[in-house]
Amino acid sequence: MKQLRKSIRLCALMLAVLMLLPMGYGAYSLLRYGTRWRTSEYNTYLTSMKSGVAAGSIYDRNGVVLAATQTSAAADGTPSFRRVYAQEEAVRRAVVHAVGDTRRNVKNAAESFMAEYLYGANMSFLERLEQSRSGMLRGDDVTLTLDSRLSAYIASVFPENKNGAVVVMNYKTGELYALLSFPNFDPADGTAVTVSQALNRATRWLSAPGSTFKIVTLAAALQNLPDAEARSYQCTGGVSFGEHERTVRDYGGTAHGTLTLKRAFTQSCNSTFAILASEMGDKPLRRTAEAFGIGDDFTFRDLVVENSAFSSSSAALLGADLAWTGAGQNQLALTPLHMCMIAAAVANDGVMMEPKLLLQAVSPAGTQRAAFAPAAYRTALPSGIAATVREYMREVTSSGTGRQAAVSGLSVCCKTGTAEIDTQENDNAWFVGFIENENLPFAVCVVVQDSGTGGSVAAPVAQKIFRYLSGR
Amino acid sequence: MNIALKAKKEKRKKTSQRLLTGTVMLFVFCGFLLLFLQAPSPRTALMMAAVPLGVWAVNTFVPKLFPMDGLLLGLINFLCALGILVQYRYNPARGIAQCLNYSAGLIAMIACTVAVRHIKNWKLLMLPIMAGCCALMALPLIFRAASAGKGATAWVEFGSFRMQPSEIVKIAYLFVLAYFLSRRRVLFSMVFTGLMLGFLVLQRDLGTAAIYGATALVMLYAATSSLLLIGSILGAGVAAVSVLYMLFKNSFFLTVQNRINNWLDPFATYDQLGGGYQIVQSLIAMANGGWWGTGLGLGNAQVIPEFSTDFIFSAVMNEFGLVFSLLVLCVFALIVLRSADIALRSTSAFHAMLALGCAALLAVQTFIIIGGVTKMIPMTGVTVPFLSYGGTSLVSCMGVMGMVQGVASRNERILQEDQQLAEDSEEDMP
Repeated sequence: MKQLRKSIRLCALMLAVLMLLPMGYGAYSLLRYGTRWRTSEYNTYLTSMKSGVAAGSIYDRNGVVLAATQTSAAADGTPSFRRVYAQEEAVRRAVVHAVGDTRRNVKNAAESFMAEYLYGANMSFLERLEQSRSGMLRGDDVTLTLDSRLSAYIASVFPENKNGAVVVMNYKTGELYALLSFPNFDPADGTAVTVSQALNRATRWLSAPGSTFKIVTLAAALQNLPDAEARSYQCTGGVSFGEHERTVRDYGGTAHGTLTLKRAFTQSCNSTFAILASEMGDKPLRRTAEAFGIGDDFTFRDLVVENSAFSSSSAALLGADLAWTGAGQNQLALTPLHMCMIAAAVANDGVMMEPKLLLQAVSPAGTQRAAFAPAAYRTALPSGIAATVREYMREVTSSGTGRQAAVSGLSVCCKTGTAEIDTQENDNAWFVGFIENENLPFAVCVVVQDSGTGGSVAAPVAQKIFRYLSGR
Repeated sequence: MNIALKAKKEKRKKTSQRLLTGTVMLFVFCGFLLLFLQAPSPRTALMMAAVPLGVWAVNTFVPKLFPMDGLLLGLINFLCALGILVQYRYNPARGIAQCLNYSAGLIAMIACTVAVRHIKNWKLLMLPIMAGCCALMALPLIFRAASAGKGATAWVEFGSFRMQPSEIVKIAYLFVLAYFLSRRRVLFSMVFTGLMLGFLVLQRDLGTAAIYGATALVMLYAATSSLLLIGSILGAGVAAVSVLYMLFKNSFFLTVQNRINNWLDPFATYDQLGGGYQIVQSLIAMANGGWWGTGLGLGNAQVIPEFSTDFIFSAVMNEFGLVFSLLVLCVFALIVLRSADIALRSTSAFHAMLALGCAALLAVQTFIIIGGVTKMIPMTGVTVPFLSYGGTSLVSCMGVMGMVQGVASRNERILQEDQQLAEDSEEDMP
């Protein structure tokens, strides 16, 4: 009996704890995924809430109205709401993927992802009472970090009739100044929107980043191969790996001859980076990629970003698969925004900042509901290594594949990429780069799909953006 | 001196029970008042008066007529009243039907209480009980065979009357396990459990099978205090499941695989038939509610299929919020702890095992369903004790609690008899 009582006590305690576990888990998931679930396209509650509240306005960082609600009273006195967007069509089109539209064609844009503010979900009971006395509930006004004039300018210089994405972010704070996807559409006109137009390629489109990924391979090599910088490399235009003799080819089959690591980087030599990757092995390269956030479950506060992947499974890559990964191909899948964050981390002494879209949310009565605060997302690489990578990237602009991004009087660091996609006729042109300047801390990522090389298609777009940003 | 102390203790117990009753009455009254203010109707006004009065009447008179633990009864009534309120909020007819279900449950509870308090010779009853268990469990299988094997079901239907035998068998099952385990007939208990699990698996009712299995494990541990035994049974169970998986990979386990996929990423299987739709809507309902809830009458949990039964807790999380839901779970935990306390006060091993078994059953069932709707574990369709809509579920849960009440009642009677004896002998002393 005594033993039985002891067992009963233990069992009861464990059962009581067991029962409380689901709520602990519920609280954890609410904190981590709550906003995502609430703003999910499947949430019918959000739709029903919208009919009773005049949504707040959305402004860009300079106070330009990007979205606002027009109220008109129906015959029986109940107010009806109409959402209107920025005045200029160019601006409307340029920011539509970041701001969203009333019909929710764009998933998880500010219109739905910040619904909590726009529809006043955080209103206190007293505020609700105060507002309903004036006859109408109004949501909070939201100011985004976007620069609408910059966005419209970028849209005007982006190659016509091409798909792609452009991201401009402040690498010191993580503020997003521009987040564009092409093709875009005009939210003010009521015609049907295609899936391709609605897709935000900057945040939801995963693809191999091509040679821009060599930034990560270089960082891994500098940290894991002590003699990487000192030795020289032989490039015959291609290297074979594995038992099937699969070949990593250089772009156009060009043989770069004997070169240093720096020259291999500036000339974007695939053979050299394939050799580096296979010498290091899967582990160190994967570890560095993980330090850059590849494989993370992104749960940023202000925006939804598709998770990047190093390879399709956690099994170690071998032979040509690993070699091609080192050169930025194989199963690598990254978004343009993430590639921009990677360049930004190099610029910011190795510290990757969390991308931010919300500058502030202000209630109709004027109280600040939420405000921007920069947050470090993770440390991607040691600052010493970051300095070396920057030096290499500077060289790309001055004497490498990124010459067309150079702006006189500015120190531009960059890396181009030309990603080969089997199903496309032409390659995807990639460009990531940043300005080395305390007062112009901007990182840029440009992707032009199905177009040509990064150096000849994407770099000129980036050059114009840099010029615009610096006023030159 | 001794008598004064006892009276004081008794008084304190009474006060705390009155406080509990008052709080629950106030809570349901306010709930129905809110619903009345949103949509005034005579029916709601009637409920506003009837449900709190019902709580008061049951809490006050039932323990007087049939001796039982007032605190336990008060906690159970809180959950039942909350269930009626939430059912009524979404569907008034169901709310009223739930009141009737509750009456049936109350009768079952009293019946179990009286049975446990008075029956002394359980040995005679064991054989009929076990035979009844098997017969009831076989019913759905026979029905299914008769209806040409359509669908997988644990239900039996007679015209408009539907019931789930496994819910009722729970009560008998606990008696059998407690009886044989208290007599150290471990092997026999395991064989009987295996038989019941076999029936449940054939009925495709995995959630209930998990409840039966886990309850048996807890009771087995209490009876033997041997972690080694529990570990080896768990190991054997895993091995058996793996073998079954290999054998029925493409038939039976397809649904299991489905459930696991829905659990891993419900958003990915959202549009599939039998996909993640329910889970996704449950999570969204939880997220819409947030910490403090949308407020009673302002939520929209009706978009979740089965929101009144399996997903009722999502509806609670939606309108009352996570903090309140945590407190509701605390009430469940208090019921479990109180039941264990009653088990500890028992003088016979059989009754101690019985009360513990009831507590374990309640805890496991609550964990399985609430873990399911919060996506902590894969979803298996079982009801939330006391909250879900449905007569069978309420009768079985109240019946199980009635057994704990019976043990409490018996403890009290034996205590009184002992005291009487002691007082009698004191009087004889001089």
